[in-house]
Amino acid sequence: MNFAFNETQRMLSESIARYLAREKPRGGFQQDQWKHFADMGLLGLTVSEDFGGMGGSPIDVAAVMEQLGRGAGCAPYVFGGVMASALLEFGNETQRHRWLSALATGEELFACAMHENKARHDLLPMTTSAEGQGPGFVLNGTKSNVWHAEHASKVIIAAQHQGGLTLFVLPTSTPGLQWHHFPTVDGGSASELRLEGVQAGPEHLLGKAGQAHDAIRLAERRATAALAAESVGLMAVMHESTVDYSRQRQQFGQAIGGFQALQHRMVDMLIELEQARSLAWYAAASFDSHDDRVQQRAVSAAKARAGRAGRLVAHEAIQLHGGMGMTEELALARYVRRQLAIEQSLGDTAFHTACFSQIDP
Amino acid sequence: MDLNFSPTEEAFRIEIRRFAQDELPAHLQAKVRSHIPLNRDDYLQWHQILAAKGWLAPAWPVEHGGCGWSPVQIHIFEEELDLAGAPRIPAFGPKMLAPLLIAFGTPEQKAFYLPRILSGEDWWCQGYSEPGAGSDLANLKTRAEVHEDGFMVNGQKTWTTLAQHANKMFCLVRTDGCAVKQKGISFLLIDMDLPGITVRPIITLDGEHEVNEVFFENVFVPRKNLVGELHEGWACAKYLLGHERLHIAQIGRSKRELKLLKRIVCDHSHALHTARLKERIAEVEIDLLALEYTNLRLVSEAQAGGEIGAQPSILKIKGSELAQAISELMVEALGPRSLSFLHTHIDGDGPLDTELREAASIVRQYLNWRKISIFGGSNEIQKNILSKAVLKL
Repeated sequence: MNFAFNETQRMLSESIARYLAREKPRGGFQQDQWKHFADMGLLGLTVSEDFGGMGGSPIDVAAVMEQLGRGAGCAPYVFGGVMASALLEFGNETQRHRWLSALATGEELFACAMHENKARHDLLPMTTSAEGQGPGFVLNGTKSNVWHAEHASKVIIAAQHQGGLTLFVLPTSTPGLQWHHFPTVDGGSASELRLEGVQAGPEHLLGKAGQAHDAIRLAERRATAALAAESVGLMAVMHESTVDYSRQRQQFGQAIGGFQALQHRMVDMLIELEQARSLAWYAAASFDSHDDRVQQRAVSAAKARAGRAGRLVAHEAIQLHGGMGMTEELALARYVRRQLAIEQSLGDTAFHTACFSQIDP
Repeated sequence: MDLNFSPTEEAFRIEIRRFAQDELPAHLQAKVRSHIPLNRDDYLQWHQILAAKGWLAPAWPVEHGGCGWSPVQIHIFEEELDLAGAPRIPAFGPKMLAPLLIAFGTPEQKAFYLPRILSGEDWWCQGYSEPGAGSDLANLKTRAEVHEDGFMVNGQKTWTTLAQHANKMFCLVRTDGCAVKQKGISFLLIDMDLPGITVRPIITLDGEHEVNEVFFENVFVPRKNLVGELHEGWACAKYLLGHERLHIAQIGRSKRELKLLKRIVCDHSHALHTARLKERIAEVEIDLLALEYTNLRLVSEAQAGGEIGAQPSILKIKGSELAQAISELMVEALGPRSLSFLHTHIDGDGPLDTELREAASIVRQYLNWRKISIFGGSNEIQKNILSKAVLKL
């Protein structure tokens, strides 16, 4: 039993940390940052080496995500990197070759349109439909919270076809795709998507029609595990900056970090973040078992725990910074907002707690 | 990063599980699982079974009777016995005093006391806390007047767990009244049969007799019963408290109790409350899973020979909170049934039917477990420790 990062994971972590410390990203999609990630091999982290990737594992992803969380960079890595590459694995040999290598180099930026507002956090019931039309399909429906679609060249869309989930890869400019982009709370952007009579040729069908359900679920689990790990990085920085602030801030003739009530609250933050960290790693390691239920249980536990911990840490960080904690000026603000965005992505704490309790170990 | 147990470790787990299946007496298991307090004979019976197997003190150095197991193996051992519902042998002799004697005792003390701990001939209790010295242990006032051939002890200890069964006490006493607090404390081994010692029960709010006051009136303790240097007992106390802390989360016990909780929720199911309870149980179960892996991170670090530091305080705080949460949820799940209450003295008799008896035991357990966040270094003190050692505030 060994919880240490290996050499590759350590190197990846360090180079991301150095980059983020240097560049201090503002949030949302930044072209130069995305290019840098491509050059570092991050985009193709889990893509097979045959397609120009690094052949990395979910544990490699967790190591990377914790660093990205530390930077609160909120590059659309989770959806454009982790989720998209997992979804594209469902394609046939030609599709994987073409699209995974394009993803790895950054030539294409993929958005993922899986969820619909009516189903709230769940994938189903899904109303977006793909009806056969000649050799191709026509798509109708709506999708919600499609992250960074504004900057994406391609969108991967899930639709129902003859009772089975089906995936399509379309250019974002395809006629019939009506985009409503909106800024997200963490400084990024996402979109509502309306599909009206969207024509998709057979070349746009990813993998086999009607059989994408398991692949979508797996991609979601991978992305959810990544969010849990990102959360840990966010929490770590929120906590560290709180402790640092408490050492500097003087009131009543002393550093406020000398007051026991505050010390105890900062210890509580530490305990929450360490608990979340344990489950983020546990979830990343769960993909070694190729059992869906084992993975889902682990991932749901991690996301729920990170959600609970993240909210406590964020609230306490603001509180213990006093008035300063309410300012936009403080970097803390970006972390708090990113934490909120993560909480409401791919299932919130209540959703995952319920998910967890429905799976027998 | 590889979070799997090795095949050897898995095989070891099966071995411990089989041992529990074969050797744990059914009546003891039933008592532990139903939260019935154990009596002296119960503890000694299980003690003898473990000792016969050579598993009473697995963490001791092999030359003194330990098993040479790795930290992961010890973790598995503790967890499996808890899962099975085995009694917990009081830690005072085997896990607290013994490591201290091994590190700081004279050859004579080691040769005399260690085998008696293993055999069960000596039952040790801990003379630390006093009415004026709880969290502020260094404020202790029990005096030991230094004579050439020994010490004259006068004073009082409190919260002395199971002193009613003990024949020995390790005791912190003040041997230098002029020195400031921590300096001037000595560590003595005291025979409970000596004249001048009185043990008085303290009944706790669960109705149990688990702890005691112990009074010393002109008790003479021979010089050879001093452990470590005169006036240097505080170092002994700290060593003892800092030792073997990787099991304080008590994951196995909480897992066992969680299973019981789920069964109770099923038995006492009610449309309005069950869904809410199930959600809270899921939250606790997730947190317990997290604690299990936080614990394993530390065990794994110890196995790799790394520095552990103050991190086990996290295990104590979280472990106690989760154990308490589970006990609270059990009382909630019982609902109106949790009105029933049994005084310990009428266990085994009484007019209650099985269901009420089980409910009464659970209520009593819930009350008893309010202590977990208080003893062994209160959770507030644990947070002070973490704040100082980890946050460096």
